[in-house]
Amino acid sequence: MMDTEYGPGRTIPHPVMFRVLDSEADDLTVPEIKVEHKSEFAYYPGCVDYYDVEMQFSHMNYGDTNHGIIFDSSVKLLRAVGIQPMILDRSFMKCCGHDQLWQGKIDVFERMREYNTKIIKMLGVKTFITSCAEGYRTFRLDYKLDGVRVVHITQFLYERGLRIPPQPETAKRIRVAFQDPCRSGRQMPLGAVFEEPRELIKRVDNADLVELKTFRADAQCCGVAQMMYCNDKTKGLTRKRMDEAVEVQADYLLTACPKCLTHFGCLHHEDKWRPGEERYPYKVMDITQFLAERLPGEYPTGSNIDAKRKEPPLPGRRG
Amino acid sequence: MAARKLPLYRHLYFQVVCAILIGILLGHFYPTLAVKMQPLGEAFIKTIKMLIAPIIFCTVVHGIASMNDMKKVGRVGLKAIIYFEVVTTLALMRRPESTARKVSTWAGGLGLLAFLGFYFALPVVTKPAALGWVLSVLWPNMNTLVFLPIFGILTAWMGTRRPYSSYEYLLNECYQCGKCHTVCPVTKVEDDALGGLNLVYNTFKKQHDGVPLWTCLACDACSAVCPLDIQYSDYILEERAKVHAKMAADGGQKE
Repeated sequence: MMDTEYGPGRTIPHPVMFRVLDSEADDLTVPEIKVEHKSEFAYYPGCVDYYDVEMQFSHMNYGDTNHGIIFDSSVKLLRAVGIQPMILDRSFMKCCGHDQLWQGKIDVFERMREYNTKIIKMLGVKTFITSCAEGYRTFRLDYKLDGVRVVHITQFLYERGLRIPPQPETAKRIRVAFQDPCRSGRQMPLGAVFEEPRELIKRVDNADLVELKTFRADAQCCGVAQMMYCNDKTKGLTRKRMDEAVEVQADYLLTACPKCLTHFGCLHHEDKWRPGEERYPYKVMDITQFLAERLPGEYPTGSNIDAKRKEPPLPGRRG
Repeated sequence: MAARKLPLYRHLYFQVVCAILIGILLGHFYPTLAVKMQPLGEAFIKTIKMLIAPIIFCTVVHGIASMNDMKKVGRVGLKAIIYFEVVTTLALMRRPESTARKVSTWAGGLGLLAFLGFYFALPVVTKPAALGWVLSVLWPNMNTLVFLPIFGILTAWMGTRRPYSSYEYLLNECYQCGKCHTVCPVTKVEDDALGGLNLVYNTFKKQHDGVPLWTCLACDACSAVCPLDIQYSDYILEERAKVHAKMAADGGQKE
């Protein structure tokens, strides 16, 4: 551990992604904003595109974890409950600033908050839907969005009564475990998202909800928060959490936080180097993807999405 | 007393404007030389800062001494006290705490200086018989008035301290039930963090070198089980922000 004048090892080498996000925050000029469907319901996908790039760039797990599909699935689900959301694209929104805040870069966070608040007010958003647990916490607690209701997408789908049609007769029964992200559960004094994802999973008729060893407010962390470190220790924590899903013989490990998905997906991918003796014989995915796969119909096109696309993007580098 | 007519270039204002212009031109045409001049400017600013307190004191004394009407003096003293109280109250309402402390300390110090100047100048410049109503008002309450600025400073200070909600207080109240240790995920895998309670508490008690402050996941598992409801993740936020602010003040992160 290197010694610095701030104590040993107190300078963190930030990955390229954070340098990019930080420099992005410096420019507060508002670009030209094009939204296809002007609506008071806005959907903010968060930094999922950045994660995909970062995952591939750092050669962690290209080919497996697909964050882009969280966006497509969310739009598909929102359309299924009759909402045509205004998509708050990364072309004019900035990162919510969660990681910068928790890494101690308050000034960067405040610039992002100022900019994003301005855009949200400018577009007249009434209900702000996000599919990211960290975004949910940040927009609801750390931003001061008066008059804007910030909801996690599972809360919104639950209150709008999302119906999952009966699955085909041939479908096997599946055991589904849900990882509670700490940011949307334990850390939210009001509006903790515990019940809604579970209720939504129960609406899939061939799915049995199983609880991990620690769940709801006691749920163990996925291992990495605010993208601070990635080392043997954090891998150990992720492994512990994924072992809990093995113990309950889950077929799917779902989560509502792209960060959890990143870290689970990373370990899940490493596990595949010995085919046939996988430690984790289940799928890891976001809850929006799980629900959207069980809805009929194609993935959405139009709006800010590529018009030629008829199906979800291929995972990883090919997508 | 008619002052001698000074030529323009002998006026202080003119000289200051000239100096500013020269500085601008120097900065524009010879930037490197201008940067080298920085110590001169800093020394000048520091000299001025050093002189602020005596200047204010002397100004107040001089101002009172040159007043003829004693009622005016009384009003000025009253105004000084009211100003000080108002500024302190505003400072208390202001967040963040550090700013409030700074403002209240400055306001208190200036108020104290003004009051002392008023207090010492009064008997000197006035004939004892002409003290009039001012002393008759002040005399019975002299103790209170003399100590009012100090009371004010102390009240403001203690108001901004918030002892019963500060982390020092809460973390020292911890009775080590060990629930947080049971749930803290990092202490299970991190060698540095073995022993003691959760990471934040160990950092606070300086039981290790401070690295686990950055290893902490801020997952809030410890706060969820804490019987004292200590918000550890808020403490983490503040500490990390402090470290980063210090780094930024020193010219950014070293590569």
